[in-house]
Amino acid sequence: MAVRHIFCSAAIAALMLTSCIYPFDPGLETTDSRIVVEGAISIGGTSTFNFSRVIPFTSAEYNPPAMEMTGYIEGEDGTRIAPIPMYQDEDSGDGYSYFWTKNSYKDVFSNPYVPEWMLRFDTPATLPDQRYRVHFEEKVTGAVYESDWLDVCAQPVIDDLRYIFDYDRNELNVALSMHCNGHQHFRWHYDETWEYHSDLYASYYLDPDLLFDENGQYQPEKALIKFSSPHNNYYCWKAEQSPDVKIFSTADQVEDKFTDLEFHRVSRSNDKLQILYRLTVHLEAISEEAYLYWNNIDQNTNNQGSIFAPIPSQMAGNIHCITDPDAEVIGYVNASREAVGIMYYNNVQEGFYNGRSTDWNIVKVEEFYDPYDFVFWYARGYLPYTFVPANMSDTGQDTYMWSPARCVDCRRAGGTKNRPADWPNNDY
Amino acid sequence: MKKIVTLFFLLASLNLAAQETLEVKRVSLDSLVSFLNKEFPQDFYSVRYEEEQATFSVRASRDEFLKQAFEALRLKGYRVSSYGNARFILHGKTVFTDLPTGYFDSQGAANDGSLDQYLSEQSAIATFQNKVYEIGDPGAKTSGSAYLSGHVRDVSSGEPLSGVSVYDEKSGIYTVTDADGFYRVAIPVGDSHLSLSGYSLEDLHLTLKIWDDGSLDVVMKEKVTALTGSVVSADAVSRHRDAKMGIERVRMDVIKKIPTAFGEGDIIKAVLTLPGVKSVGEASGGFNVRGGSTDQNLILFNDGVIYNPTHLFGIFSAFNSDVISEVELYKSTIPAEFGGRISSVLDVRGREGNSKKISGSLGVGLLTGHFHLEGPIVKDRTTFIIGGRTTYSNWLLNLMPENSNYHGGKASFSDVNASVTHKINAANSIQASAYWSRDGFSFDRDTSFRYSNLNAALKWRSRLGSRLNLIATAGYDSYGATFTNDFNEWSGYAINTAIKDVFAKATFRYAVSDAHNISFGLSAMMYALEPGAIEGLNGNTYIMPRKLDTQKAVEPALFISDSWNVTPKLVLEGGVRLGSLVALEPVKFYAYPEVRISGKYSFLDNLSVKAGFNTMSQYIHLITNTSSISPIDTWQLSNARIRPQTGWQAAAGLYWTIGGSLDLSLEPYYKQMEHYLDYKSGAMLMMNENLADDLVETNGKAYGIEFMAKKTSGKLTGWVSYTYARTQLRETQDRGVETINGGDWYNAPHDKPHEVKLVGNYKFTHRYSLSVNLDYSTGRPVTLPVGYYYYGGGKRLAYSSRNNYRIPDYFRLDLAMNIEPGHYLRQLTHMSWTIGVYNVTGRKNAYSVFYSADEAGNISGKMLSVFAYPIPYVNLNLKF
Repeated sequence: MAVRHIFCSAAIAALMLTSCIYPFDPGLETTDSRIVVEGAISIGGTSTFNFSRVIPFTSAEYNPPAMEMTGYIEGEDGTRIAPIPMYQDEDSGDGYSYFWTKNSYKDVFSNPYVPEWMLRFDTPATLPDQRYRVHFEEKVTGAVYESDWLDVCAQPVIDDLRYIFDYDRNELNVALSMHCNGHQHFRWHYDETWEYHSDLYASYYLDPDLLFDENGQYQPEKALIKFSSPHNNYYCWKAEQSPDVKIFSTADQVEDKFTDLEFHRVSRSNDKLQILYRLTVHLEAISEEAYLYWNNIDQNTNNQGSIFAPIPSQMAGNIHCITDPDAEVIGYVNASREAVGIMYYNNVQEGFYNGRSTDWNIVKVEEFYDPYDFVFWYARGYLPYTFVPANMSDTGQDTYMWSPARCVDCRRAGGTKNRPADWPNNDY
Repeated sequence: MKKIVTLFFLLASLNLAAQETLEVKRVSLDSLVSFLNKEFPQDFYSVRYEEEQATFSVRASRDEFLKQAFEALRLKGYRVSSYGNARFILHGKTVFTDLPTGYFDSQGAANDGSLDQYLSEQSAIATFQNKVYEIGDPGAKTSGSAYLSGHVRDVSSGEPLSGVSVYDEKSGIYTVTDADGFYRVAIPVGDSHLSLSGYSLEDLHLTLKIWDDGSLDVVMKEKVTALTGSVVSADAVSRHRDAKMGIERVRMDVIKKIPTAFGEGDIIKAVLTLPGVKSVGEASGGFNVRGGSTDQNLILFNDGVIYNPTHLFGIFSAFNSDVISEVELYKSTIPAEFGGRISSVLDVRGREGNSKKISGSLGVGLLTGHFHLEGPIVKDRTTFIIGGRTTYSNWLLNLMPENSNYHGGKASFSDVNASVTHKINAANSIQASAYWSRDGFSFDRDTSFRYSNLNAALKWRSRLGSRLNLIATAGYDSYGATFTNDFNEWSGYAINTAIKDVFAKATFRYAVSDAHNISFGLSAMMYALEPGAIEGLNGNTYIMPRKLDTQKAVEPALFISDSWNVTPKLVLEGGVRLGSLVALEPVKFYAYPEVRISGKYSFLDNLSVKAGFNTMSQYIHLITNTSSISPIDTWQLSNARIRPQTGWQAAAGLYWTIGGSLDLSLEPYYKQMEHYLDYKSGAMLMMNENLADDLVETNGKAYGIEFMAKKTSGKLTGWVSYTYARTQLRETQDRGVETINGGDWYNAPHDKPHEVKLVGNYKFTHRYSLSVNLDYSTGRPVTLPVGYYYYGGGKRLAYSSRNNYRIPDYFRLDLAMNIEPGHYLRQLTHMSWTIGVYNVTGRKNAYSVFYSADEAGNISGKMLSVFAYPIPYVNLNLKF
């Protein structure tokens, strides 16, 4: 139960009567660069471990020591699982697992996080009834890291993942139900993917490189290209991985379950709900120690500053540096079997979304009226979206309709045209 | 009605008249009076007490017979008054025969000895400065000292006046009235001049002829012309006469003039203006005394323990200033009768109520309203006082924007004080008092907090003899808190915690000789502590009701102390307290003998030095890992795994009074604490059956020097102080990389080395005065991250050393104008106003500095300022 989380927000609220929070630069100059290990042994699946370092608050450029990790997963029966062979990024020379690049990671989520090293292990043969630990070695310094022996946690069952309309607050609440007999501590993270569209459907797009030919001759008609089906800049997709720490304990419950636990809210006017919204939950059972560790992370980062805020402190994880026992390692690895739940909200069916007012401007550019208008408007952030032939135009001339780019090109709102392969509608 | 009387006249045969013996046996009052009228030249008059069934037996020589008869009458509650040749015998009442100066001298009143006897044994009330008060039978003692004791009360309300210095000008012997206005002083027999002085009271000089032990009640009146001139105040005298150090006494009229955030006179905020007392920030309920933590202060209200002294998140303290008489803070020399905490004792005493007439007050401020009513139930015998406060802060929360999470939130508190005091007779009185408070707040629809204090106490004060008196107290204290989290229909829960105790204490004060005054007694406190109980909120809950084991323990203590006036210049005080704890289920016994030693040497009447040494122990601990007292903190008793905290303090002091009204003091100290509890990273403090696993012991050291200049009379009063103080802690265990700061010393959260405080009041006229309060201190230590890292999909903060950074220095200036009512005695109501501004300069003082992530996950430094703007306020008080 998240006793402290709720308490702190209340305490801040109390003092909002007279209190204020201001930006403040303590001017810290720190040199911390502890190693951070994040990952889990996924029993029966693929296990991923990310390696990074603490990034200190310093005005100087951050130059962490080079990192090159290797390692293995070790079973109590003596089995060892080696990592999947590495791939060398051609551009940067960084090493990653063969199917994973910095760019692809960035494409999936807007989160800019890129680990400094990653190891992946195929662990389909791991067994739920034995203990495992991870063993890592840093090739540059020779430092060796090892986790405690990990009991494999049971796999929880997601009973329901659904949305509930909150008309009082104009929010959509996402609620999770699950059970997991015999296990009491749980953590889940979630990611969201949603489809949205621009305000105006553009039949054309402008290729600015074609506005002038090789001789510098202005040729606007060639720069204006009609989209071929199904291509468009109308539908976009965006994905976010939530940074929220979501943990729950059933230690004080009769049953190891929870029902309709509302853990995420989306404003009714948020574009996430415009067309189709998907939320994927990754739920795992964790040990009590891991639960405390995540609780500590949450307190340290999200519950600071209020009058009754707990004094922050760094809790030790379960990975230790064998070669230097005084070296702290941040991170807590777990051995578990993840349960995945997926929920869709379809605004075509529900109609709960009430956002996006049309505040766009339309500019008509009549053909050849001013041969440089394309350049003029493009330079001002406008894009053409449709063409009205002379016989249908008010002015009797061929007319191009322009609007601010954000109203015409959905990508300007941060999304991409990377439509998830399993997206369950026919928009492209 | 007359009863059968048996009279025996026995003439002694061996000698003459001097040998004549008179005797009465089991006679009624009427018969005794008849006998006296027959045998003695005086005229005796009596009024028999309605229910009087007593009989009297007296046997004595003729010379001694009157004396013995009056003694027998006194034992039955009768008082004998004298006027000329007449003697009046009344039950519990005195016929006042005092007349202005010189009257008796010119009249040459008869002094037959019996009058002196009467005077020595009844409670005379001294009001006239030039009258000669004779105490005792002339010749009863021809040398040595006699003990004079009594109460000092306010002339108009009849309330006891504490802190009044009673000073024998000839011998230099001195005492100060206690909380009940009681004094006892040994005075050389013969002529004496007794001076009484107290803050805002007119000095009183009494002329005495003292021959034997006796009592003298004194009434004093409020000083009207206090604007000019300088007199030696009681505090100044006390400072040079008393061996105790580090005692700060703050009177309610001073407290009410110290500007506060919302204008309400506040005891704890006033205490924070004293040197050596710190807090971690504004709106923080607790306080830290000389490096101690907030739970190391014993906060007593009418002898009951207040476990949570805050209202509304610490903006207000638990005490209603209308019903408080005085506050005393012991921060160095702690009398042996107090124990159980290792830093300080804050002794808050309630008033008894006006014994002359019904009166009261009403007050309204920005956030709170308060009232009180007091008066006699039986005039001069039984008084009551009742007071209450409540808040109307909810309307402020409703002003919050509708789309804010706080709109419609609730935050309120109420408290009620009630007390009845009954004077059984001249030697005995009894007081029953009760206190109740309730706080509740919620800021969203899911969570709410409630806590409540309840205290009830019965106090019996008895003068057992001319040299011995007793104060016996018994009571019940209770504190409970509930946290409700209704975040989910099935998993929503409420957690309740509570602490209850029953206590009894008896303190005897005995004047052994001129030089030695001892206090001794015993106390016991029985605890029942509920560390936590969880339950579901709805019928279909998944929550399994669970209750942590109730902790039970008894804390008995024996104490004795002696104040030894070696010479008028040298006073030594020593005390021993045997504190102990018997934890039950499972049984564990702790006992710590504690010593309290202090000494004073006066080079001059206005220049003295003191030194002291204390050891203390504490068997109850506040479990919290926040910097400030919070409602979800719980108490924990020492047990087999959690050892008592112990500590010692050595201090010295130099005191110099200049011109009678300017006190200068310099007090350095050094203090050590052991077994002070800190917490492991990630500790779970609520509903934790194995709490001891999450606790770590630390040792603490604190040292500092406090300088204070205090002006106690004149148009300008107040004090300015500078303190240099350090407080550091060190974990005693080696837990590898988890050891706090690697086992090195680290700064305590309230370690603020430099501190300057100024509290002043300037009276323009009797009605108008300006108050100023200035507070500067070094910023407190906080724990800041040393960097961030990516984990679990977001940026996380990485921490290393605890309390590794100091927030910016603190500075605040407050001003208030006080408008007192006019002195129109016939006016039924008197209205007073306070108009002030808290934080006049609008400085954005940091309560905390921290890093946090915004919605986009970006981390940046921030500062929380609790009172970031000037806060104007108006308070209206109506007295009737």
